[in-house]
Amino acid sequence: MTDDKIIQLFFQRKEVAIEETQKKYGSYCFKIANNILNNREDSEECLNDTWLKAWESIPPTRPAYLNLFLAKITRNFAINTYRSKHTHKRGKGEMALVLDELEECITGETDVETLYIAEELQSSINKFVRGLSEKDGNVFIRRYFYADSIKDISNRYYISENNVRVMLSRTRNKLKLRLEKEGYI
Amino acid sequence: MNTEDLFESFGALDDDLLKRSEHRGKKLNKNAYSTIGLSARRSAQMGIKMKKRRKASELLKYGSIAACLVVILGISILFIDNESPNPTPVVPEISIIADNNDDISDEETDLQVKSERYVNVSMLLASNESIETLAHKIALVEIENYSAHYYKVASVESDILQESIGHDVPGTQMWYKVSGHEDMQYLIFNDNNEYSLWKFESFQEESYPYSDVLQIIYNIHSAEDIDKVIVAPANMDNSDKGQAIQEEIGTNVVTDDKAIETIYNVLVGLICYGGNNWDMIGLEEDTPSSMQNQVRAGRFLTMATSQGMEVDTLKYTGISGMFYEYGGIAYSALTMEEKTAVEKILNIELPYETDNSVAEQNKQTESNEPEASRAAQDIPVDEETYQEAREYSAELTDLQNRISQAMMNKELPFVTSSAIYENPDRIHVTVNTTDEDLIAKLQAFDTTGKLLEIEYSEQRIWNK
Repeated sequence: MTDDKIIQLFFQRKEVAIEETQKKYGSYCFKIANNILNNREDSEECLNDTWLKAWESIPPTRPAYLNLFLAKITRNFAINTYRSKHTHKRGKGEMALVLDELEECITGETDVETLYIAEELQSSINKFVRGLSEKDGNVFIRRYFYADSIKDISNRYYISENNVRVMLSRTRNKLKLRLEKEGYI
Repeated sequence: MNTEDLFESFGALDDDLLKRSEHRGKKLNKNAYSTIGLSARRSAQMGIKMKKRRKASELLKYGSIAACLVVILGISILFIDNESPNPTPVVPEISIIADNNDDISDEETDLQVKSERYVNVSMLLASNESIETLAHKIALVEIENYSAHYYKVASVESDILQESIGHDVPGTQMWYKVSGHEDMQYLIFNDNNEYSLWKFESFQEESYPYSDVLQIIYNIHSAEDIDKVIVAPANMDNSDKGQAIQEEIGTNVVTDDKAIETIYNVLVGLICYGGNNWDMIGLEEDTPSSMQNQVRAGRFLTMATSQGMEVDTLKYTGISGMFYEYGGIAYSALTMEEKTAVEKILNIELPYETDNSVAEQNKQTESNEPEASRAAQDIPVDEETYQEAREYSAELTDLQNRISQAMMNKELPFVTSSAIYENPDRIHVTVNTTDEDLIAKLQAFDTTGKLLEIEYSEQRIWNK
């Protein structure tokens, strides 16, 4: 079923919309959640929350890309779950690695809480990614939005794993400079 | 802010960026690309890959027939002639992998593509000691919509080249990329199992956008694909004086992102007019003083890409404000704004004399109006002052060379550029760190303590 049809079902308040969404984007969203949580049950829980949130949001929202709309919801739920389950220590899996890598970008931060304004930061990151080459941007997004493994990214874009690591490292350095420059760290 | 906050903030990335990242290159068709706003060039490149798949499909179809024939032939040879002097040609494993991938999943294809080992082209070029005199051979290779001129270069033995072939050039039968390379700066030609190495020279067309060369031949699609630009002095004058000027200029390595982006942006806007266009390039006559001007105003560029490739053909002359290459390959002249920006990066600051500027100067001399600069030149300067100036200049050059060398040796990774500046004469170094220990390490290069000016990339300046 096409996305337009599914969205139409949401607008008509037909519950089959959720079934169709689950059928079409279940595994897609599960991968996003599981990349972050590394836990099947938690990830499935996240998916249930995602379908519910989609049901509540459409209408009035009419997403341009249904899959991305769902991806963002899933990702947010997964991050919240991750936070609640890993208050004291990081778990295993891709998320722990991703967060370790991102630590490079904010090393040395002190009183940054006062400077941290979520919306501005998001806008800044959007601009940052736009400023990257298409290749670097795509790799960066796969790693830090989807929390894809290095191997998955390597397979997706036909570049070696080492190349992916180098690209990510360079981009993180650039991001760190950007965040420093803009006063986030 | 912690890492989780940062990770969470990526959740607000724009849909078009996310959408772009979702696609696997090989699965898309041209229409799909146009819907997500990729350029026609990128679409065309994907078109090549699809063409290759179609070709692979055909190969697979005929390949099985060929395989049967090979088996029959093998058996025949076994029974008929065990001493055959012409064994069946060995088709490199790489090409088999590359050609028979039509019916397998993308992930399997990925693994196969990655199994192609990366061959450093420098390992294929003949060493200086063993270079033989090579007749200048040119070949035409059909690449996309162009006929590309390639010339044969001295290389290692044929069998090593055979082991180094990568994917074939789409639409050709005997031309191969170097293994592990997406670029086509060098190609390997298979002439009846005699392999030779060829280097790109130009497209045959009267004029074409240089952006096509960057993208199609060098696989450079953005400034980010260029790691650094090594800027060496022009070497057309190797007289003692010419060499002295070259030494004074020294070799710089440009690694600053903005500088590289500026160069890239200028290059993609250029039109290339092909070879034998020396008149258009407008270098002056080969008189000694003119040659020295050419050295002062000229720079030879080597672009090192993130894929480990070096493009070493570009040259620049400030005399006409043009890029050019050997063989009289001319490019469109830069605008004044581009010229100023490029020359600043290439450190072409010395007041060199061009035909025009000499003529203008002569006119000014003839005029009755006194000029401050001429007045300054007229002031007699004693030999001692000259000697001091020469020594100072030598110190500057020496320091610049040592810093450049250290940059190339990756001893100063925090240094993004280093150049000789004038008025006052000093070495201007840009760094991306404020770490005092690192700055001290850099300052230690300047034993006189008066030549170095260090600039942080955000315009913070320390004067020693």
